[in-house]
Amino acid sequence: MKHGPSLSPLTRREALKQFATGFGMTAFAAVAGQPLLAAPGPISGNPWAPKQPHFPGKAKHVILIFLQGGLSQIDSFDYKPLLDKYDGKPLPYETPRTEFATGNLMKSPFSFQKYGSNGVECSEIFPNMAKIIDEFCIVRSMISDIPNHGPSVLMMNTGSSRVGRPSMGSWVTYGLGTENQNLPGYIVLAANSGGDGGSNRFGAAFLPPVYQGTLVPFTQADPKKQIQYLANPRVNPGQQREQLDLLRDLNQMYVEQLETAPELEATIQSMEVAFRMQTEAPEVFDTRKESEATRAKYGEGGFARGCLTARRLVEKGVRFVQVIDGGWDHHADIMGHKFKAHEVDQPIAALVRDLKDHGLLDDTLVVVASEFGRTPVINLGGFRSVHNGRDHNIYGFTVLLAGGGAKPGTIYGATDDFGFKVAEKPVHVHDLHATCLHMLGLNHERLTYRYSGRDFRLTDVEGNIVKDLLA
Amino acid sequence: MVAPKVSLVFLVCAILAFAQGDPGQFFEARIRPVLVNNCYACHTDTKLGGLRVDSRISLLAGGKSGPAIVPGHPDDSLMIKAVMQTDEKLKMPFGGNKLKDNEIKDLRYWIQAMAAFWPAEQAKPEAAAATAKQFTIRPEQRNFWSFQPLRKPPVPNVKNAGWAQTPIDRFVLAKLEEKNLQPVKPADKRALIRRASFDLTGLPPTPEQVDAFLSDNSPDAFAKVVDRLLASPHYGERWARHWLDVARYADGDGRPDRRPVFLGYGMARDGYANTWRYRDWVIQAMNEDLPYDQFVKAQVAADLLPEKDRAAMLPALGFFGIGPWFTGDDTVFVEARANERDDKIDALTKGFLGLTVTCARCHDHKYDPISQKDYTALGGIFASSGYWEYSLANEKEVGAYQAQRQKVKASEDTLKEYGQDLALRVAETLTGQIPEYMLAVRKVVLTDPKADLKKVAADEKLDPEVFQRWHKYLTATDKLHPFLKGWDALMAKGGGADADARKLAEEFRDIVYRVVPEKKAVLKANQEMVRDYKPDPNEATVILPGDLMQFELFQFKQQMVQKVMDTNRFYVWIDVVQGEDDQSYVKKDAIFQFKPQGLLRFLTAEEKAKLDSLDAEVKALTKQMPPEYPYLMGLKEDRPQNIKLNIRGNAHVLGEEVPRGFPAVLGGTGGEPLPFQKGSGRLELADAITRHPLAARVMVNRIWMHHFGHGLVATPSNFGMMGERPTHPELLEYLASRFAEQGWSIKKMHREIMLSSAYQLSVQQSEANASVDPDNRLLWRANLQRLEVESLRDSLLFVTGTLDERLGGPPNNLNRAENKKRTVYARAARTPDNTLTLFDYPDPNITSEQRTVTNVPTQGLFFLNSDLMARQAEALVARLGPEGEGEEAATARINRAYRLLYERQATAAEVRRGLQFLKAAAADPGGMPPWQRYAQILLSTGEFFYIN
Repeated sequence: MKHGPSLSPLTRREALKQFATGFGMTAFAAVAGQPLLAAPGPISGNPWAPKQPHFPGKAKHVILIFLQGGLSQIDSFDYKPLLDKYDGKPLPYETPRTEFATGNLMKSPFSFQKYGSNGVECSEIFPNMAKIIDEFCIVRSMISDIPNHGPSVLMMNTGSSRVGRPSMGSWVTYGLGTENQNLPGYIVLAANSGGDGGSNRFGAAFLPPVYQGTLVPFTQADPKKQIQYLANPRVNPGQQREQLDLLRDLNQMYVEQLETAPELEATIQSMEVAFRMQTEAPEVFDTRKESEATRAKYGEGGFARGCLTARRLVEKGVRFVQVIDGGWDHHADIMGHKFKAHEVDQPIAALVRDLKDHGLLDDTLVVVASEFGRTPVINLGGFRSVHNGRDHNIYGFTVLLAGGGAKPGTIYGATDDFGFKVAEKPVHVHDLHATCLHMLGLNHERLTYRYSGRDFRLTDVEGNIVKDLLA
Repeated sequence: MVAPKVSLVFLVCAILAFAQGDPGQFFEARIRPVLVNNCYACHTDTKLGGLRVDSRISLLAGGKSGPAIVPGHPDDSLMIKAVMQTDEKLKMPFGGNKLKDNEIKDLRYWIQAMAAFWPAEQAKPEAAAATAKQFTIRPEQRNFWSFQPLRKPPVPNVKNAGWAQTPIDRFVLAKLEEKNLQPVKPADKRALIRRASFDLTGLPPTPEQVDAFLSDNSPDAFAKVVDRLLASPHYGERWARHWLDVARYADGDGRPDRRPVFLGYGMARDGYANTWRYRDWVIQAMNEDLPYDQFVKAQVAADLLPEKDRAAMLPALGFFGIGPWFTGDDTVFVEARANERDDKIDALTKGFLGLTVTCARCHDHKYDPISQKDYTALGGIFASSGYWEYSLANEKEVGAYQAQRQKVKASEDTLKEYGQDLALRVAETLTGQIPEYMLAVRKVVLTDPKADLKKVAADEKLDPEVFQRWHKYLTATDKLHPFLKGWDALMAKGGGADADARKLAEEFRDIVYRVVPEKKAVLKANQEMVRDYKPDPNEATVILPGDLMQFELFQFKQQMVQKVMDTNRFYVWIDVVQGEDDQSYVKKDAIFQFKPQGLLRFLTAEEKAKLDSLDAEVKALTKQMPPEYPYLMGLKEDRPQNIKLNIRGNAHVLGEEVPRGFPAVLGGTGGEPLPFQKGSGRLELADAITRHPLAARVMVNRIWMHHFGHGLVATPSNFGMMGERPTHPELLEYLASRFAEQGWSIKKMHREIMLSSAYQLSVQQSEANASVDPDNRLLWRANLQRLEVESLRDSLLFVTGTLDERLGGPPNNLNRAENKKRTVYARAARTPDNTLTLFDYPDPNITSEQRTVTNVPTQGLFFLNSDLMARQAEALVARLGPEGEGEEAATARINRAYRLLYERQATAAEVRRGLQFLKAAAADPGGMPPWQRYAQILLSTGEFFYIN
């Protein structure tokens, strides 16, 4: 466990040859969770090379859709008829600690209808997701630790409410590598890196920085404006090819002088990959390459473009894609959910359908989550314009899963009659993480990284796999 | 299994006589000591891998991998497999030396012949088991290597005494000879001066410096080079950066309205504008070779040092002062403070002591003898030391700055308030005209084909923009309020009678008339509520960067319930009068809402004049605003207070109060922290750290690591149980002792290390050595090392003659073309620059012990496509002089480039390849000129960014 498998110079060189000739990455294939190194320092081999999971997993890719701010479960997918009756009346038990002062119960302003073979009640503001509700595995009994954005955003994205732990995407890319060597293995699609948690939401912390998410803003349609150093307007491809040939020859001469230098040989190869990346990346990020009809299915706007890009990336073998949407924090007025739902409902539904049409849904796990839910009681505290909103709720909220490894048509767990606290089968964020890793064939207790003398995990010292969610 | 049967039989006979006497005696004399000394640390209460080895039952039950022993069958026993170290994945003792052969033989015999006999233990009373959780430091924990006093070991004898130039060499060679390894040949002089230059200054040598060294045949030629480099001001820039990784150094992101960690709120000024003064202090300390003990003390307690040292040392407090301070709308006071303390304890203990004390935040440390009380005792020190800005200006300057800021703020408030009055006055005027606008919209909607909106507005004498907005609003569906339902119904029926339409429009006008005063009343009531709020006098006022003293406001805000408007009438307000910046609503301008310029057309001459004069006043006052006075970010003594244990790390669930102090295992006390008495205890803390041998061990190991590529201890910030053991324990002790002996001089330590034969080895490979020690942990060769990102960028600037060598100052944006200063001066935001992280710059939110070195294609994109590479290639071409004509001139330029970049002549093959490229490039014109294309590649080679 102290050091990664150390290849002799000869086999390393052979492995590199395979690397050079395309995607014969098998020579590098290691097993997930086998650390590349004990402590930071030089990493031998290609850190992005695909690795075998601990056991065969159903999912090979993840798309994590993060609705930041707090999606209200009782206004979306956890209908509580009793709230209509108790509207304006006090909660019959002591209100748990939330962020702001709260008042009486408030019913949902939205109407609900039954959808799918299980008759799942869905809110009118999610009409498109409602139509494919059978594809989803709905967890209605999520819990988290701290009713504030910063800590809980970090908890959902990194498994810890404090700054300084690697994000889930970093762990997965570290554990499994990635299939396409011409693209980063972990890509984040968001308007920008702003918002609570900042870049820690997709940071690698103490994992090697190659495993951090690469942020590609979805606000721009032109990929050349999105990715750093992707193109060089000063030379044409032929000229650059000549440059690379020169570089390869000069490096080769130097390697011969030094007799052996595997680090250098790996560098030579990654230059070649960089050259190919310049062709592949602009192509895959350019949603304008999709048909008019496909783009219409996803709808307008940055988030829709992000969802469509997510499918294109997964199709190309990118391991982990995170699509971040903001603005769900509706303390003053829950009517805000109507506008936000309008932005995300169609793209999310289109993504799930599109993945299915492309045969990708079976091995792509889609997670739709917020850092927490919202209270059934009205939010009173703070400088509010009106009192028609809901406060943060870590005691019971809803997360949706679809695709790779998640059991479709499942409704798991339940909140109490008011939708405030979990009444059945609580699922902590750690449990969700453990379960998602399991779907990928990763044992969350074995996916470790030794940092400063301790083996760290995404799930810290917690996490139970929720078997009922598994397909 | 591996053990040959014959020797086993022999062995069994040999020890039988002894064992037959008394199995208990054999166990106590030969087995238990082996277990206690090698296994107990991890396999008793800590139960690593689920295994305990302190009873027969536990061994039979085993751990995660299965039973540890199979009585009678040593070859099937995992314990034997582990200590034989034949299985790559199961080598015990973890991180320690392999057991001696006779110890392994004893263990085998004990399992086979004695069926793992274990003497009956004295029954423990139940009560003892119950109190077992009480924190105690077990003797074997206290005896752990890194807690022992410094001892200077004798320099070992070696066979190849001629190779060993210094005591360091004899320690290294002794280990190599133990394994029959031969050090490879020494590096050539060119490689050596290049390595030394990068090591000490982060920059390559100039061709002239190389020439001088090559032609200097005196025995101390290299020592002269080392001394010259140590005296260079670039030395401090290089070595400060190493420390800044440990110190999790970060600048603000340069935006006064934002916080470095969490988004902030209501900040008056950029509280992180002076972070760089700490960075510059570290550089200066390195350049002046400030003794390391003083370097430590300054960072922990500069404000408490004797008066004569204080002023020069104060910037050092930035170690804590620039750290994360958690603020913001949704911060929970108690947790934020606990997290701030945790950050400080983490950086302090990992950085100065190589211990992971923050593992004891929620419970006693699982592996090291550090209790939660030890953690809490340190926490109390920081609870008693608040954030403080030490002004570097005199009181008058500070006073003038503050007074002027007040004036500017007041004038801005007045202007804003008047603007708001005018906006509402205009809204009220326009409210009166609502029926006219609505009826005109009705007319347009009912006309077929549709009328031109501008023409209708002109005909009806309406403002065209306002009219357009009404048209859009009234024809849209989905309004949040019900007040236009009647109107919509009428329009749906074809518009109805004129009189009915007018009546509905007037009703809506009257609603809007009510909305404005209602909103005003609510605003006024809420302002009074905030003004009259009396904070709890028992609650501490917390000072944070950027004048954030109103922290408690956020707390009361969360519980304060303000007056609000009727929800439906509020919707009218945001639709018609003024949109509000709230997450709940789609951002848009209300119908009567205008940008300042747009509002002017509705104002009277008098109103305009007043607005202009208020605006002019703000501008004039702002212009007179002096630049912000400089200050240092640090800590200051607050009221001394102890804090209470946070049960399971929860800051809301408190246990016993713990006096401020130092971890017991370090302080030499029994099980309780060593108490501190003076003020916060910070000065005592600083003294205690520098008195402890870990301080010297940890620092010499860091120095060693930056010279050789890895430390003698491979986990430089963890010298605890779960850290790696030193590969050369005696050498580490020797270096640490020398460090203290030589007055904690870092420069002397460099000199001692660099003048050794071990440092001066070449990178030559050796199959024979590699088969025994593939990772070169025993130092039989030098490691090929990639330039760190700072050295990479700095070298690109340096060899092309464009580096701005000025020292110090406020941070600049890394990617600005004009920024040619060294990378250590670039803005180090808490969300670091992409180019930095691309080349493994560490996360500045946490202390970093060592950088990883990764190799990914996106780094290739930097070399191929970045603006910096194109710029430096151009600069390099310019430096090569005029192009000239013919092959000879080209060859001369190629050679000049090789001298500047690699400090050597180009080989014939390299010249040929270069000429070939240039010729082909000339035939493919357009884009970058051929020489620039060539230069870019020379700046991208492995030879350029690896140090051999």
